[in-house]
Amino acid sequence: MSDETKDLVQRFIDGDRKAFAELVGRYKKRVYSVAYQMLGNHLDADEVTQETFVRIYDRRHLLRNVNYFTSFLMRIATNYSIDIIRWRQKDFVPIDDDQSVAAPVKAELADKTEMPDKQIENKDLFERINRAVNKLPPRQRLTVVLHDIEGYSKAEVATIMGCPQATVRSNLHIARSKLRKWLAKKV
Amino acid sequence: MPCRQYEIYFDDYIADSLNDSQKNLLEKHLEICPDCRNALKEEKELLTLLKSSGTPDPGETYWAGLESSILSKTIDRETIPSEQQGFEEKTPVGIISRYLIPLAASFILFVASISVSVGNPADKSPVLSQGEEYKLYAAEKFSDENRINPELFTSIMGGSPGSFGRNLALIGSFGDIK
Repeated sequence: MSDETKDLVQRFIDGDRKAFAELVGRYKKRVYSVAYQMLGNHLDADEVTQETFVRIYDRRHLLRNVNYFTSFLMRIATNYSIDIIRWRQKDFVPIDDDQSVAAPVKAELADKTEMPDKQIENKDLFERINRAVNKLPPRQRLTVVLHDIEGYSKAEVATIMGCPQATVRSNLHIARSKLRKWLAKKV
Repeated sequence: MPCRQYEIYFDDYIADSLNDSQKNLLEKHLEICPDCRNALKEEKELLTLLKSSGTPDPGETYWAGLESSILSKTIDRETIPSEQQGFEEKTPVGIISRYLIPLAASFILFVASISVSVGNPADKSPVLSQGEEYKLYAAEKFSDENRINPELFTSIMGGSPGSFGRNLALIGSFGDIK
């Protein structure tokens, strides 16, 4: 975190609304992106983004160390996303019942990933990937979203999730095995 | 070492964060294990795909609207009393109104109830159990003034005249039944 951002966070903690507006401008896309990856749709991601900033505004007095701002913000966002997922658990469809995830994407993947510079345009493929990610249990999904999709380090993910790095590693290993299995099925 | 234990190193191998000995060990295993080679290839493909599966951008209009919406919500919350926002009032007045007033009220009620129950010791009547109350009731009912003829009683209730006393005792014992 740069000194400028630290200064902004300190001013925000002290009650400066301009600093808060600036922080919203800087972090809104990150929060929205994680929420979107976790929940898979715009409406929920929008709700999580707004609620996250409102909550951090209310709880700014709890933020004693400016260095933890990003982790604190992302923890609020991911916890709220997990809450939404759990509220909807009753509508959960087991992976084995959803054959659409297990489409033959392996050959397609190999073909696309051989050209990393080329932008992948296959919307259908991404939808299947997103559906597969959305079938993971909430904590495993969160680990994959933060580490593999959003690019946070394992240490950062551990801080956000409030767990040891070994748990992050374990979650990643299990989640990736499931994703590989689900996506390679029927090849 | 079984294949499962090598799989744990795939992530660090892809990120190139294994030390030389671990890397050599894994690479030697990959040379002889087609399953692990395949699994590693799949993991690389999966990671590339996940990294490239970006979030769709909802557009500048949305971002501008989002910022103004968040800022207006937080302005609204500044005007809402802190109690409704889930905060505890930390001022002395807040602490007095939240804790001391109910505490004082409950103390006054306690003192009042003690003074009423103590009252005049002469007025104090013994506390009777339910069984004792029944016995007292039965004794009054069958006192000399109200006594009924045992023969008449047994003819109504059945049994021998000698069982009258036992029936009376039974009436008294009903109160002990829980």
